[in-house]
Amino acid sequence: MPYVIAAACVDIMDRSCMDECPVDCIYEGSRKLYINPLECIDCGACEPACPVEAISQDRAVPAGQEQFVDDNLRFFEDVLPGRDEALGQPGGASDIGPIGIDTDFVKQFKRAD
Amino acid sequence: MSIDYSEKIPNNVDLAGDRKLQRALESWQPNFLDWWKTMGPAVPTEDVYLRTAVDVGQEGWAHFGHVAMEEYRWGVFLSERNPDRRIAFGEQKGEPVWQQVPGEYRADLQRLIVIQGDTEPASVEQQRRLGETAPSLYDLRNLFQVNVEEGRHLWAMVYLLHAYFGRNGREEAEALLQRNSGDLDSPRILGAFNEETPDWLSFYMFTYFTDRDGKYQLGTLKESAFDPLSRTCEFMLKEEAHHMFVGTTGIDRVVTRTCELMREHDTVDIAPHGGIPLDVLQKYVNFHYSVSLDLFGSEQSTNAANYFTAGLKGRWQEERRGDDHRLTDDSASIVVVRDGQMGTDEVSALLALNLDLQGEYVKDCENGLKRWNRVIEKAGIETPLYLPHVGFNREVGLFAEHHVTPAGRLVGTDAWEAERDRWLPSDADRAHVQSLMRPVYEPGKIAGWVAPPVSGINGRPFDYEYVHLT
Repeated sequence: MPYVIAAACVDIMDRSCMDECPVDCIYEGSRKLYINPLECIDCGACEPACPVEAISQDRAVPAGQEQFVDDNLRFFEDVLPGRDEALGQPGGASDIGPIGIDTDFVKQFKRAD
Repeated sequence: MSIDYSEKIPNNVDLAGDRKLQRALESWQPNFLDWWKTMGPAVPTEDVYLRTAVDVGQEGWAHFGHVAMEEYRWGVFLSERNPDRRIAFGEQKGEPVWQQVPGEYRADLQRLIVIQGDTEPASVEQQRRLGETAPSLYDLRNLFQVNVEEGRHLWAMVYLLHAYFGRNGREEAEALLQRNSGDLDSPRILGAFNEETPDWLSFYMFTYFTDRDGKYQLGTLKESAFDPLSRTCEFMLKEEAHHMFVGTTGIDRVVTRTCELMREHDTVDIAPHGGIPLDVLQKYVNFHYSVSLDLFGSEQSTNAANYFTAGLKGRWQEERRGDDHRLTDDSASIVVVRDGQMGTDEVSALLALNLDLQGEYVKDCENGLKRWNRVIEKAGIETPLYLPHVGFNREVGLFAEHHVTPAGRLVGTDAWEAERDRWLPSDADRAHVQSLMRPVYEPGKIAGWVAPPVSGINGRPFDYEYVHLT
């Protein structure tokens, strides 16, 4: 799995990363953004764009935040609350706009600060 | 600082405030344009839908529009300066970064910049004739975007040479236009940049595997204590992302089409049906991956250790690592060949820095393989692609003197020669791929060996007229 957005994005959602992504694969939940691991091309353009350093390669997520790796995948592979089917590979975030829903993990996530 | 396009050379480094440097670069500019006309894209065009950098900040940095290629505004763009930035590694960790080149590191820094700079025009030369066989206008546009940005990356390195390395730097800047890819008398410095890119499958493989090496090399130079180099590379990485997009999605599309043809004709031998068989794709992966691994240099390197200790070149994601960033007391395990067997040696972590970077690159490539194998699996085909062993087909480093099979078995020269065409593209494979290379210049149409993209560029549809040919 390629790049991952972790805890620092929750309730921040700066969205600078969305402008940088050449394949438009960063989708907007309610409390955080999610990189579609099925669409991400591992270019790394998003990582320096994030002002709160929420983005890292899956193999380098901050200690204690490993759950965000699988959770990013769940956002696309599981059926989110209130939706009829999994998002899968929509082929671009700008076409479908904000999803406005989070995974259960993020919904219940409490920021340390 | 936004980019000043009113200048002859667009820039965000206040060139107008340094007349001597401005004149020097303006005298280099016509030589660059001559080189572009001679060695740049061979297909004549009226204009191309290109991305041009207009800023370096986070509030949108690129503009898209149809541009006559020869009027593309190549310029000098550095990321914004952080006045508080400090050296993140090596002996001088914690001290302020350098705005000028320290005398004792002059030769080494110049060498690093020349090597990086040499790769930029090289790939333009390698890809010069590809436009003549573009599978679609969309692909043709992407090729030209890659080419103009490699040209801009050359400008980035030439600026550093002119601005910080005096007469030697200016001479090296000239030499960057004198060497040519594959030239017997004056070749490019690194081996992969003297290989041919004769077809579009090679182009997709090159932009995946070789440009991905670029991502990692630029990432380590971005950590440099020499701040202008760091800021230059940071902005180059933004542009490099498009090149990796072209490679990743290009191979996606070939794999997709190959699987479609296999299902349609119920055979693995899709060559007679105008496709590229999976085993040929595997051989291209083997070739481009192994040639790109050579670009990381020897797995055990005193130069890399010295560059790190001096603060010239860091590790990938240096500042996010949790160690002491000096590594003087750390060790690393490297694979060695001893008495015909592979084993491991413990060496100083400083000596294994090239291997550290290579390891990061390999993990990226594994992601690519997973991605393409998802396409294969989804099509119900049970022949996944794989990455060969890191010792396979190597000409640089610890495996250079040995023959290693894709599975990682050491073999003798006879066995290697006997099986070579099973592992690397044979003349027949290359001839078949070449036979498929026919230009498709009609908007919305595409060659039969590759699937169309899932979306166009900058929100435009696939059938948009990305290129107007003359």
